[in-house]
Amino acid sequence: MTSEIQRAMSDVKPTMTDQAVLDFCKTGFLSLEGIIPDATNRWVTEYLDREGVTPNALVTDKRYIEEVLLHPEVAGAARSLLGENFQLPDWMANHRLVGPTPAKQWHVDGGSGFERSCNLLQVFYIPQSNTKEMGPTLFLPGSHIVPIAREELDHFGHLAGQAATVAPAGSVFFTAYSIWHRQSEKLDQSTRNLLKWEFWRTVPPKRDWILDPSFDFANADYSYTNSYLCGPTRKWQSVLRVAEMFYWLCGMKDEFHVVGGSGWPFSASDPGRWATLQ
Amino acid sequence: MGPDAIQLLDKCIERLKQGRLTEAHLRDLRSAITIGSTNQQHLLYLQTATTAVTSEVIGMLMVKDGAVSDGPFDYTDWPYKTVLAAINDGWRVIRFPVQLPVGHTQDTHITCEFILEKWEQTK
Repeated sequence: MTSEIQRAMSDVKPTMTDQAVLDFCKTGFLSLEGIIPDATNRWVTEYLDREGVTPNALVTDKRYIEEVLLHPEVAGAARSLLGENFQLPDWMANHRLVGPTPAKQWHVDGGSGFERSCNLLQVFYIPQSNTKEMGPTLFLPGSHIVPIAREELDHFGHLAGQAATVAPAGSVFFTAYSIWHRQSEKLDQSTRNLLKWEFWRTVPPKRDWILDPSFDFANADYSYTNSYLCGPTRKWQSVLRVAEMFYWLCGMKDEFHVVGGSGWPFSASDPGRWATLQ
Repeated sequence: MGPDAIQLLDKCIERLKQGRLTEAHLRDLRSAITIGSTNQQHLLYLQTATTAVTSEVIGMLMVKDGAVSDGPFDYTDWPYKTVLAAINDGWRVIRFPVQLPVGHTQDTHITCEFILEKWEQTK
């Protein structure tokens, strides 16, 4: 069986600025709290609570496409990070939990390469309010470009700096694909729905989000640490990773050169400029 | 071996020196050791920012009373903020971080992890 591939139209407007895109490169995580209207949250929840329904059917549901997938803030973030005509999902999963449920292990999804690029986005939508007791998904911001073996992640418990999908109904969370994540322990008796899908890039990366004329590539802060990624080596490690990803997103990968040392970006020492300096 | 058994062992040594050690004393010691063996091991995994015992704890997991626990959800509620604090609370380090930070590259993620244990009487 094949499904028709659907793409966002060219009139979808980007919503993120240079700084917001750079911040996503740092964290691999974007939280849009309570953006989907209550009426939508209600019918989506009622739909998911019906016996025998498949969340995959939402992929072709016009109402879901219009009210959720192409909601201006959802589509605007995807348009900013993936460019024009990004591909809409061809599958939809519901991570539904009923009653108390043990936590799952920290992991990265199959195929994670911790790449400093962004060809797809994972998206999570909670149509109901989530509390700590409802087994929220945990993410470790900044981990999307920190290579680690899945086997090593397997025995971790709570991590400092973790972010949880504890948010009001109608919240949508975007992540870079390789981010470390897990489902935490669900303690209460409630039923929790968490819809998950992916948006895909269909055009080469380009700096065509909301441009800030004052954005200064040379002096922007490319470093990132959080409570977990806080060791003395972590900050300088993050600079090159984050900068490379941001340059890739700007369509300027060829202008990213590292000659070594602890600083970035470089000026006269940039090997990409050697030919022009002679 | 628990503190009671060690105390009894010390008494046996003293009695041996005095030529008063009997089979009954040794059987008492055996019983004390057997009772001690019903203790249960608890484990504490602490990931830290660096290899120092004073380094900030950035990840935790506990195995207590035969069950795995992630610990409190909120960082502020974690029982120990450094490995040293756990040691001072009776935890004993059984493994120091095995990955030394020799791979100082931008791609290397170093997990500094201490594993600690504590033995307590089975409930």
